[in-house]
Amino acid sequence: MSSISPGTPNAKVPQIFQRLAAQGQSPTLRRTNGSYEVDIVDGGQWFVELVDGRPTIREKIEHPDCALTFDATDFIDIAEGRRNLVTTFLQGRMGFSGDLAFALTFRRLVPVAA
Amino acid sequence: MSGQSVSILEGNTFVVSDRAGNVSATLTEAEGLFAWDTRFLSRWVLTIDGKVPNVLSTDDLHYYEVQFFLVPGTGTIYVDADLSIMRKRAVGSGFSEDILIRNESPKPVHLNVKLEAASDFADLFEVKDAQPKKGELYQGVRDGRLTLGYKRGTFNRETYITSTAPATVDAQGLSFDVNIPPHGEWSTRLEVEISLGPDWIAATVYRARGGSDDGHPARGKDLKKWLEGSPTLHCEWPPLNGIYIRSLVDLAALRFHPRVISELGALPAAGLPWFMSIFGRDSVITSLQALPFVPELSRTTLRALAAWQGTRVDDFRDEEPGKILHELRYGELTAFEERPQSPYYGAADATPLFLILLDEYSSWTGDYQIVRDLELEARAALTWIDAYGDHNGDGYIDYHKRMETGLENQCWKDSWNSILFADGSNSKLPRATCEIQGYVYDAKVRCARLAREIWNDPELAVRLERSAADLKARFNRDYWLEARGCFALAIDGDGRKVDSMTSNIGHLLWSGIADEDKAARCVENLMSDKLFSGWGVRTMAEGEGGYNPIGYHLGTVWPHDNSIIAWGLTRYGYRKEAAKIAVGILQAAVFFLDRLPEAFAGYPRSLTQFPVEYPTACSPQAWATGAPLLILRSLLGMQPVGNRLLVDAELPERFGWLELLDIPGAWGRADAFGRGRVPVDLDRLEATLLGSTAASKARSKAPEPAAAG
Repeated sequence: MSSISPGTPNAKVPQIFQRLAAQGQSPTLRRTNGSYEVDIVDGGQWFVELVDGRPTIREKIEHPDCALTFDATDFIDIAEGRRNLVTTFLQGRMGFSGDLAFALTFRRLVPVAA
Repeated sequence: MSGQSVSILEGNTFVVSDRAGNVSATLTEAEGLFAWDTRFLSRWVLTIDGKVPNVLSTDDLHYYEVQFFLVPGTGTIYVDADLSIMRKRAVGSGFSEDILIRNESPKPVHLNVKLEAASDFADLFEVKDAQPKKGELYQGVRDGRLTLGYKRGTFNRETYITSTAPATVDAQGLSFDVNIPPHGEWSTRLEVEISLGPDWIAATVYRARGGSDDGHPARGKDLKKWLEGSPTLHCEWPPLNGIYIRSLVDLAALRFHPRVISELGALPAAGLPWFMSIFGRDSVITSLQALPFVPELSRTTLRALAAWQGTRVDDFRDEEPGKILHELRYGELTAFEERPQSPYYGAADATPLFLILLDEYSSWTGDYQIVRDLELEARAALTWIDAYGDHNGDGYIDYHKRMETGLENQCWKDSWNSILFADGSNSKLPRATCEIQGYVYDAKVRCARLAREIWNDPELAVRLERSAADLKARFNRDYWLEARGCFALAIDGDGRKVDSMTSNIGHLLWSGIADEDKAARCVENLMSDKLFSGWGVRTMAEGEGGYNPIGYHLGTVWPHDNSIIAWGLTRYGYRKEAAKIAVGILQAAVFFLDRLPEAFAGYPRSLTQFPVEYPTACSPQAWATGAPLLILRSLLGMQPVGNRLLVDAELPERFGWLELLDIPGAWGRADAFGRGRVPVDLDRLEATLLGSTAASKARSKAPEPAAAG
């Protein structure tokens, strides 16, 4: 994880991941397992492991099931419910590699449904 | 689209061309290579020495493969051609095309072979509009590969074209300087690939399905396996055998492996070519129809719809927690939220239908694990019905659109003017159509069983049973039109009963919400000349103010509608009436070369002697394809009872002996037999029907064609 300067808009990124880790199991993902690499432009690289819908932030995951890339502003907007993850992907604003279905499942993980 | 187009498809990728294999998209000819709801090629024209070759024949090899036989253009007078031109096209994530030119003369020939290529990257929703694009089109050539592209901000779609034979490539296409010796030949393979952006890896579509890189052999084997795994039908009425096979093959073509769903199986898309996407209502109904034949479709449908179940209130998408989606799209208009299908949840019936499928699938297959797995989603769906489904608090599930981009009607009759009063005037939103109340009743009754037997929640079971009983009592009181002898089509936003007589009353028989005495009067009306055209039950009765035999939901005959009505008639014991509808619809299928369209005109059979096509009907369309299957189930009276299959056949006399072998279910495999004993007065038209040109053509048609639109 990269360090973020407090007070900048991107400082919200770590808070979002902290909330994500604290929220516990997402009921709709209770049978979902896998791992994400989330690359936030100017917002750091994050790794999320999902076990039965319960997210945990990891320092590093060697072979994540998919990698997602966002601008920090887009990511924050998604997490705060102002932007839809599916249309973000369709617009090409979300980069991904790996399993697309699993990538789009991320919409059910962020604190406000995207 | 003209009747001269040819369509092949794989998943949500399809190619619509003329019968020479050329694509020349115009506002009236919606041809092209389409994928992910975007047109990736709008021009693909083969010329030989500057002329477009003439068509000798077009062979539909499979739903994903077609072959065109051509000769050089010779004007209006035919002279012996010296060249044979063959184009063989197979669709995958894009398509590949083999071009073979044979010199049939004893002299060498020199030819300029050209393939003109262009793309407008139109969103599927705008192919028939002349909307200016908001982004920039571009072309480029690099290392012999032609790239056609479109960029709007970060939105980027590209088409790549390559050839195995050396070509001169420019922004307009590929040219080949070809010399062919006497009786020699020249060939090339063209690959057309698509991209949704720099991260796109289209080939994973094939690999995910265990196929080879080009996917073709895997798809051929897959179709063979699909047919071999389905029950075998033998019927003494020959047309039924062809209709049955056609339904299975078309269902195979309509299978959809969406990359946005983790489930590895396939679910039925709604229809070719414009509806190759996930639809809640269409996928559920088709899965229900096909359940006794290919139950695996239901399993994927349930899991896919559960994965995209609504989680929040979103006015733009008509989304609410627990609601099942209506439609998911991927084109430019959806991407930029100029349309709401990302996904759109504007369907008031999809949620109870989802619950009905969950129960029906588990009853049929004995797969109760899925009921356990989807307990949370099923409970969320039940909560949606009670907490969100009734917008005006009158006790009935209704719908209204919350944004201009939403659908005016969110029931299966989804055209803007489908819910009319008997005087032809339009009703007001929110509308609570009658069949949705029936679905809700059925869903609650079924979920009560699941709650008691699988979820171990007897309190929920009792609550659902009480709620269902209360709904049934209220419905039979509030919707009944004594003077008309039928239920109202809807209760509208002003609380008025929408009093047109429509086919919707047949759905009430399927759901079981109609009291027996009221059901009897509905049956009288369904089988009367007002509703029954001779081919099937019309969507709206002749004589209603809004009736129009060629109005989309105002008098046309919809095969899927009729299959549900026949199922309902069977449920209430009206087997002769069910047989009559079955005969009408299946005889109509013969005129459509065994492939029932989405809808056909509602003219009386006595007037036209043949079913008249509806101009823009989608074909093959999933629930029309499934209609013969559900009709078969109804005629055979097939019902799962525990781990046994109950068969109680009452077949039309004309069918003679019928056997359906190896029916999959909780019992493993079982057989059903029946002999036609029910006289149906439509039989007397049989000789006329089978003597027709269309019927002869249908009988000689190979049973495994591609989709000719």
